[in-house]
Amino acid sequence: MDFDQNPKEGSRNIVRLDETEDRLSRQQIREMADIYHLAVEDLDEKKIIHSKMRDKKILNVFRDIRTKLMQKVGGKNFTLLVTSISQGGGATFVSTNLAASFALDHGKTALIVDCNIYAPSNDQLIDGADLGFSDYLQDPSIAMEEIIYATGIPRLRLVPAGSATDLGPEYYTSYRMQQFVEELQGRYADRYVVIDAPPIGSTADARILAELCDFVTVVVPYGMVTREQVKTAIESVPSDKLVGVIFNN
Amino acid sequence: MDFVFILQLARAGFRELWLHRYAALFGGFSIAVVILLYGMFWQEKYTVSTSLYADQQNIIAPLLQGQAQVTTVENQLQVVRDLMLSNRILEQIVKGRDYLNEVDDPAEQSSIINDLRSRVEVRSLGKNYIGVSFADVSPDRAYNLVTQLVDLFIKESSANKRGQSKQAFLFIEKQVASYKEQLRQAEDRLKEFNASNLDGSEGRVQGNIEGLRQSIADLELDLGQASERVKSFEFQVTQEDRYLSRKARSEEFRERIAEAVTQLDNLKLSYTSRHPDVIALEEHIKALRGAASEPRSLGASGDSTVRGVENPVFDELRGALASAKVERDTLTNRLSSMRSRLGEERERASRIAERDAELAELTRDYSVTKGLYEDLLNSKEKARLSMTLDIEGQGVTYKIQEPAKYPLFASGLRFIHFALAGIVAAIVAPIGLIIAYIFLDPRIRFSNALEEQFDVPLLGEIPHLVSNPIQRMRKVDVRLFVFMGLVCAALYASTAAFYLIWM
Repeated sequence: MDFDQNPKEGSRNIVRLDETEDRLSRQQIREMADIYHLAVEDLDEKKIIHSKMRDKKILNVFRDIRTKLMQKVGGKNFTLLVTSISQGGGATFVSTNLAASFALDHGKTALIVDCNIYAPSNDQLIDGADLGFSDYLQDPSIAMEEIIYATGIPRLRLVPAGSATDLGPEYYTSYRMQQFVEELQGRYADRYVVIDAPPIGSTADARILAELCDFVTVVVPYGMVTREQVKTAIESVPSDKLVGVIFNN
Repeated sequence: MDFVFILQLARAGFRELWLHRYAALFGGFSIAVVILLYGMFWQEKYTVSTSLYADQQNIIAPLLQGQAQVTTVENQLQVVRDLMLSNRILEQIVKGRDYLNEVDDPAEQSSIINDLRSRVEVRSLGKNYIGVSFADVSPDRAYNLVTQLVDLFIKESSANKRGQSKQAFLFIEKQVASYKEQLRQAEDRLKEFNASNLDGSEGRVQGNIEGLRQSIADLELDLGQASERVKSFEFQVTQEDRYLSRKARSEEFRERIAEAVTQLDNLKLSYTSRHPDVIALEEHIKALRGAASEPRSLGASGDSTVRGVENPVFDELRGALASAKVERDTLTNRLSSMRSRLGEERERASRIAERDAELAELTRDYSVTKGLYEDLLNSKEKARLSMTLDIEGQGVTYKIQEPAKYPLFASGLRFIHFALAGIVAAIVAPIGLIIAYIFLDPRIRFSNALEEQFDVPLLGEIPHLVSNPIQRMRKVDVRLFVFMGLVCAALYASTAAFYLIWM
């Protein structure tokens, strides 16, 4: 275990994986999780579920969703795209917590890819990430490991959106992108990749990204969208990939 | 609408209310204030009511069943209303100090009377009880009006009743007198008619006519017979006359011939036929027979001889003829007199028919007048009893069952009701509006709507998660909101209390 820890950055360190430590055993995963973790108060503040939280109801909801998804694939790992119907619909919240629910299991890791390059929000999990997903797509010299950050939550990693906000949808269809997704999912058999996509109603990004993923789930926010919007969103997702909708209160 | 839906609706409503909490608070407060202001301008009304008892169950009523007319309460309500709200009574009240002071305008007076008439409520409170109530902004005025109204009504109704029954009695009495006179006249006419009518009855006249007809028929037969007899006598008389002269001469010849034949027979006994005497005799007989068979010789030679002969049969015949003629003439006279009598009887019969019609009319007049007179006589006695009842105060009388009480509290809606209604409206109106908003807003608020509408499984419904900083913020928010709410409530309550105490 040789994580490059930067003590200057305090408790919320950016943890970058070394190329040599690609293959991690279960033991390694456990050890990796023990590096540091966020305090319970921080998690509550960031609205991230954890096993000690007082509101068991929300915890159980995410566990339930996780179980349903696991049942669908029969234990294999997968890439899940989470998109909302409208801006501010809670896709980031759902994707973060879904990933956190996977990471609750000591035998699994989870990785969030923030594809919401126009309005990145997962930055709240990490401070001062200089490189991200968009930089990686634009600059071939950047290695994948450079954009994967530890979050302070055991077994949960994050790929932030990055600084190149002028990225067009054509980058999503690139070979590099495809390779990126395959690599993320394929490297570890127990890693579950959750892609936080922009709202499906506003841009074509989510639809393009959906092609690269195994499953798609649509977050329907409370009191923000009409039936017609939901219908359009559902119809724009390939029906074999749509596992269901999540109603976010 | 099942329980789950109601729960969801309540949750959504609460959430939306919280989202629009200040709009709801100030909206509700404004509504409450408007209602409170309305209540401040609302005129409270004081109702005074009293009830009257229509006493008709006295001992007289059953005793006089069918004899005197005792008025019932069923038709009494209308009577009470009419009398109580009559111009006469209302005018007396209006001229009192509460309504018109020195105003003498008839139009204004009439409009006040109409206004009062529409506001006084007279209603039946069940058998024999009549309620009177009146509401006014001034308790004094309401109380005075009801008491005066009832007093005046009781006075008026008894005076009215006495007057009415007396008038009824007088009227009937006058009618009785007039009918009595009519009856007397009818009787007189009948008497006069009976006195002047001596033709007897129609039946008798018909009998006479029948008898006369029969007699005439018999007489006509007798007359025919008599005439026949006269004719036959006349014929026989003429026959007898002629027959008598011829017979005398032929008898002469026959005797002479018979004498000659006897002589001849005697001669023939002694002489032959050639004897001259015989021949001469035979010649003589021949001549006699010839003469006998020749009428001229009979007549020519007979006249002198016949006249002198007396024919008893002829006389007898002539006598019979005379008597037959007499009988015929007698019968003819009787027949003509019978015929004239028949004519007379017929005339009489028609006269009698006319008179009968007249008699029937007179009798009808009489009996109708008599019937009416008797009825009126009965009515007169009833009216006398009714009048006596009213004078004695025994008919329907009105008593005050429950006297009017001075109103200490306003009836109907009062300021406090508006103040309370304002609070209720302030709570209910925002909730109602929010629920209406939830129903009308097309945006999805319930997860089951997703499942029902789309063929996509619902992976989960994430409850509303409040993170700590938000919770802290919310606490501040809640405090501010509660403070604002309390300020509004205090403002409202103090205004209402101030108005209640000082106004």
